[in-house]
Amino acid sequence: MSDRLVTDVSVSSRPITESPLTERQWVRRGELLEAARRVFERDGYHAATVSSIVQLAGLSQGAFYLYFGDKKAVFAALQEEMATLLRRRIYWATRDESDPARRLEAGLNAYFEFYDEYRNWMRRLTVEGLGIDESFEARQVQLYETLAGGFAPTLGELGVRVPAVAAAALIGMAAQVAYWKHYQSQDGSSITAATLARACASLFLHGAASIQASQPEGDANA
Amino acid sequence: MPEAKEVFSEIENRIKSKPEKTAGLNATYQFDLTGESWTLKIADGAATVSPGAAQSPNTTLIASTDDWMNIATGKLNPVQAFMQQKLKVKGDMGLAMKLQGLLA
Repeated sequence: MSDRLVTDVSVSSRPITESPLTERQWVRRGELLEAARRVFERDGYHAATVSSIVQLAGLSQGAFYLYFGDKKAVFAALQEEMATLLRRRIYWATRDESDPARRLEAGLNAYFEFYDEYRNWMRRLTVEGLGIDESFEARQVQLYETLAGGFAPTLGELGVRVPAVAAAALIGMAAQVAYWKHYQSQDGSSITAATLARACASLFLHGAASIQASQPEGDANA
Repeated sequence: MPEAKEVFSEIENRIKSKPEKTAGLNATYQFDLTGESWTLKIADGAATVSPGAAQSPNTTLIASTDDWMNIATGKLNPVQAFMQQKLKVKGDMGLAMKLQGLLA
């Protein structure tokens, strides 16, 4: 078995030792989380209200407060749920890839696919999430550290001398490139996750001069 | 995409490596996927996975193999899958929800 990019992906916003929810509660909580994500994506954290969340979920304010103390709590729960999905995706995308270069690319591809799917949430998290308070920043730092810690052994296999620093830089690069694709480049949205992953892996391992002119497709200035 | 066997093997390994996550949990899960069934037995921090149906499962999860694999690999949110009836649960719902924390 090859080294894995993400070794601990079991984080969940509800620890297994908590009192179990009933089926109805589980579904209600899920409905609220989904509605909250859509409201945060649409309105942003600061403009979002509990009223707009429960309205979209078709539930009462009272139902909201059974599961979450306030808007901040539901945002925090979403932050953890989404981080779990991202870690899980990268883990399964890379766990059986023995070639480190391909493993690196597969991990980046999973990251960019996730960003494509949840672009609005990722934007809100990037732009607003870190400014809410230190606990949000701490969760994001934990996610970045987990991802970087998962990539570091692969970078070590590829001959990188200081894998920890390189992995931190890799995660930062991936986050910025994904943001650029969706929110800064005028035609970046046509670039596929696979093309972006290949370009970023090449850039990271061989330098910017190694990126082929045809990649990323649709934007020669990438 | 990994095979279902790998996902169940991963769950088994995770429980073995972190028995504290399932301390005190004794349960038999059955997974009815497309044309195949799997059994996961958890008892006091130990786990055993085997192909085939269980004799008396506490919880049975029913999904297409594709949907189950998407849930296990982070491509499909389990709650959304349940709400969309891509995932059905028979038996102890509390146990089914605990499984969410055991997926890799």
